[in-house]
Amino acid sequence: MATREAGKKMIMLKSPDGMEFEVEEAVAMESQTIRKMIEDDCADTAILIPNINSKILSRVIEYCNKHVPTTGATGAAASDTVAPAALAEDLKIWDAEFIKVNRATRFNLIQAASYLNIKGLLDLTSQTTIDTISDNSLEEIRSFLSTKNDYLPEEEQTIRRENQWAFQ
Amino acid sequence: MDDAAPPARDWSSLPLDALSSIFVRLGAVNVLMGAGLVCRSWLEAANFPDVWRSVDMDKDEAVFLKADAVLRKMAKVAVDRSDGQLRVFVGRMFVTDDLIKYIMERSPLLTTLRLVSCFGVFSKQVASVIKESPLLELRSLELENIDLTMRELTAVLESCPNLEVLGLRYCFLINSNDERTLRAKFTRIKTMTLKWDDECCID
Repeated sequence: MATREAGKKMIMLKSPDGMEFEVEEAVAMESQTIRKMIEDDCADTAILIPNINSKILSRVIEYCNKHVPTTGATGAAASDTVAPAALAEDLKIWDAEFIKVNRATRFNLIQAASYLNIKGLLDLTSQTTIDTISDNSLEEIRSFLSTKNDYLPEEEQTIRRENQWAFQ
Repeated sequence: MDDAAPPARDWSSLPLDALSSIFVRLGAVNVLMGAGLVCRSWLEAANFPDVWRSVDMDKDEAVFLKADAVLRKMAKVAVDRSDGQLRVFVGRMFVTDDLIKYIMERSPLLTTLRLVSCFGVFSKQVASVIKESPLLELRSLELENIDLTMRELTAVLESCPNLEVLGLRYCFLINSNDERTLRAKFTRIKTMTLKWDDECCID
């Protein structure tokens, strides 16, 4: 059961490798997936987050902690004293630091952000990938990301026929 | 950072949701030119209608390099893939009436249309299509360097009953007298901006 700590409702998140993370409900609800579980009352006990190991889950929680809107007891924004622009700037710098990770971690973060449906994190993590892909040819993208061309020969033919512009 | 160390990841195994979200921000042209064809799963993600809600074919390099006919083909593929979900279309130079008609007949939810340097568009053909089925969702129409006449423009505006924003730039067949007529006739358009050169901005 979720516990209370200083008036804040807490939620337990469990990674498949057995680690448990106690987080504020508001933080966990940065994830639309978890929000839905909570709203549908499926979150009485700890929530198991499949496919996301503790290393990645802890980073995701770190992100949500930083990005959760700070609210007071009444639900009104408590950050009124800080100018929104300064706050946004601070977040941007923090994000830039946060995303300085290796490719594998970034890949896992994209997967996690997608599964947990955290739009801001998905935007942030996929930006580098977008930069890599932008304005590059099919072959360049395949080689940058080491993705295999997994089409059957006849599929490949159809694709070339229907998308001639990409092969000229 | 530590980019060298980790094992190679199989990017084709990214969840389709994540891929389609990447594609949305990558833009229609990039997806059509390569990203959407990398492998099976990427092709699948590139077929999600959500990827094609906004098709901006204005500033990508390919828009300037590819032949107009090829760009029109690409635009039609984008419209087809949107499966009626297209909200925003932006096109430069290559757009013809045939393409506008194609978009309008298949995009009942279109809210924003921006065309730059397209010539001979909005003929009677398009006017009669949209008279038949008005662009009920269109909120914003921006035309830059388009050679349409006052009569053609009026016909278009009459078929956009919910238009809120009209922006005309370098449309030299519309003059300041016409502007007065437009403002008097279409008071329902909240924001109307007509601009003929960079110095004079009349609003």
